[in-house]
Amino acid sequence: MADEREDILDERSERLLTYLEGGLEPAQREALEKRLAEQPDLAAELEALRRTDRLLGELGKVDPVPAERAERAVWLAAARMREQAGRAGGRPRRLARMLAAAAVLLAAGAGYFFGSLREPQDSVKKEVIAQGSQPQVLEGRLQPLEGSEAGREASAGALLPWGQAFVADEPSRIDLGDGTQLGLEPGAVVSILAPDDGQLRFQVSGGRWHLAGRKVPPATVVADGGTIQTQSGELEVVGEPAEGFNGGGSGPAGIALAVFSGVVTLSNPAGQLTLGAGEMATATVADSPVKRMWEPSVQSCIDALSRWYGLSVLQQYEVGQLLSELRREQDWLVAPHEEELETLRERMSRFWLSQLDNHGADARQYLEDHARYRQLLNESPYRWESILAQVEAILPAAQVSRAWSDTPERDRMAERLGVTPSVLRYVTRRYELTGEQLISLDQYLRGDRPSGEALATSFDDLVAAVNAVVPAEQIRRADQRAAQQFHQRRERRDALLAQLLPQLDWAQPQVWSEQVQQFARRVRLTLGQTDHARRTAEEITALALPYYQSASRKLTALEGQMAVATDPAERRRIEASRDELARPMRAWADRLRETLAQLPALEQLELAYRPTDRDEF
Amino acid sequence: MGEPDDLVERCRRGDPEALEQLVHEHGPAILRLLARYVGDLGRAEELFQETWVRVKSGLKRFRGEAELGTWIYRIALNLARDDRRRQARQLDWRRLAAESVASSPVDRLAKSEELERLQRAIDELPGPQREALVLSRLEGMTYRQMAELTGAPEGTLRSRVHWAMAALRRQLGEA
Repeated sequence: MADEREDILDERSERLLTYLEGGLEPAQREALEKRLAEQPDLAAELEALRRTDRLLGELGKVDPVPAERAERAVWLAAARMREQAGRAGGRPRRLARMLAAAAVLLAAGAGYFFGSLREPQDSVKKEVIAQGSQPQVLEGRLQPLEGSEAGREASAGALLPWGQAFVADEPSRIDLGDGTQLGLEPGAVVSILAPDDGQLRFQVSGGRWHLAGRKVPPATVVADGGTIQTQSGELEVVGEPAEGFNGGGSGPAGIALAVFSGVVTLSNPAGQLTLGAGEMATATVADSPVKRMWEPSVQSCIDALSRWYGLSVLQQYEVGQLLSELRREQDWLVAPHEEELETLRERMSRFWLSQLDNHGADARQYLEDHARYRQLLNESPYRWESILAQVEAILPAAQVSRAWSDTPERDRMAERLGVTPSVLRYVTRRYELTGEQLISLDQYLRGDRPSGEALATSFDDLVAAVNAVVPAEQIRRADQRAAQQFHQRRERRDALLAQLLPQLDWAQPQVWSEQVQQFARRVRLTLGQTDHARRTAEEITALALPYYQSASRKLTALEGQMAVATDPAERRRIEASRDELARPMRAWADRLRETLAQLPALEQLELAYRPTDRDEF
Repeated sequence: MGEPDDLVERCRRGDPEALEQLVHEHGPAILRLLARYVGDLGRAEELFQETWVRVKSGLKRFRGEAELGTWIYRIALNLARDDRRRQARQLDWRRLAAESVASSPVDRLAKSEELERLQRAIDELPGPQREALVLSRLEGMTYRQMAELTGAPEGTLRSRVHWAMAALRRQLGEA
């Protein structure tokens, strides 16, 4: 009897749940609602069920995965999927197909052979000249192999086409034609990037690798002391930074090394580190470990920028190009770690500046010619804020706001407000906000929401809130200051341009290109800017030179006529004719000057105008 | 959860971009489900990666009887069930809540305590009931979706949710 009653109760309860979920037929619902009106205990039961359901709903709103961890996990899974897919394409069966296909290329005389020996890497007897576990682009000449099993395979048409990959699923070795041996640990991936006149560029990634016996040109390095192991032997750098490069001191206390090309091993008693092109490291002669100075690059900064704003950067090194070639995309993943970037930039700048003070003319010229150096220089126009300002100027406000509504976790107040630390710093600085005003800002934006709840504040909302909580006078001062700074910058830029822009003589188009080059060097235009200036100069000169050559005879004749003309009317006529002939030349010269004037940032002009030692080159 | 046929086909062929797209589309929801199910975010992340390894290796065998998304959910759910059996330990909902609402303010304390009690109560439910409740009430799935995912009849799932709700009410002192 009790069981029967329980069953009835359960059925009743289940029906209530179905009612709550909206799953009852109209007639059933009507009947139940009638009973609910008549039976207070049933209504109370429904209410209790509703409360539990509501509570569950609230629990459901609590996301058990913090956003950044979800992002990271998804990113990692996606990357692994991609890697696995790539590896699947590189497995031996696939490799065999690729090799067979490549035989066609071989027959056509492509001439790159590739052989792979499945044997442990410790059979690599030659001196290891490079090793690592980070992705690395290497170069080598690949030629036919003879003798070994791999050689037979090679002679049967073994060739790894560029764009394809080989994945080592056991310790493996790849023999290159010039005697280089590449030892691979399981998981290492070799991808052929591109052939170029017999030279083959390939990338090793995904696992540890060792490169032995390759004859390559010595690495180009800049160091301030210590012992460096290069491919061609050990290089002793004497002198301490304070005494200058090769200054003959009593021995360095440490070494800072930058590698521009090649591969270099930096070692001390505590260990060693292999550096590739573009990497820097420091080491003391004592027993503290060799330390890689920085892993990321300016490209990382730009990448972070692109992610933050949801942009895809086509041209990554040149901000000038960057700004013109940005395109919008929705694949932004993480906010930039602005402080890290700042720290990075400062460290790089310090390093480069110390290098600069310690090197001879050749090193200076090399540094000057090196794009990355210019980017990393302390006075570089590649200032983070400057980049932000420029990018924001060309983006729709909504996109900027969305980027700004991201919430990195470092800055507590920024997190509370739902803006990035850099945005909050910018707003705080611009409006000179006090601590109390920041709290007011938080309260204003929060309204009646709980004090611990994270907000997502757009930039527009943030500025609106600032305007609401900050006295009008303070806002007015901030706006005035900003306007003043803007005008000052513009005036300063115009003044500097007047000093630095070349005076292009319309009658000497043959020297315009040289003048443009001098300007580019003087103002330290970026590669992208220089390229733009050069192309414009070439285009304009290509028009101006033939014209000038055809017009020069007439111009010379007019000059002759002018020399002997005494009648004012006649002189005016000659001048008018000469002006008419010169008009296109002047227009071309003006156009070229206008182009040049648009290129440099104020910081570049300042740097070019500042009379310092570094200005020499 | 429906996928365009070409995406499914591309995934089967091992197209890296299609696979990535798949991860991005379903990843966040699956990770959330795993976190709720196993109650340990770190473990959920491991299972999440394992899920995609299995998805990748099983794609060639995927015949399209279910939606691709459902199939992936099923893999994740099976992994989570196995893990829970293997681990044989309690869900730590409090830790999850602590991680996700780390800055819980004072004025939400009462609510947090209530949610914590609820979490503990959910944790003590028998496995099938807890699973049904999580999918229905926390993940917001319909009974049909749940049936597709778990293979259990809709009526059974509805009963499990009902029993789970009744148990929760008892635990929370409302029955």
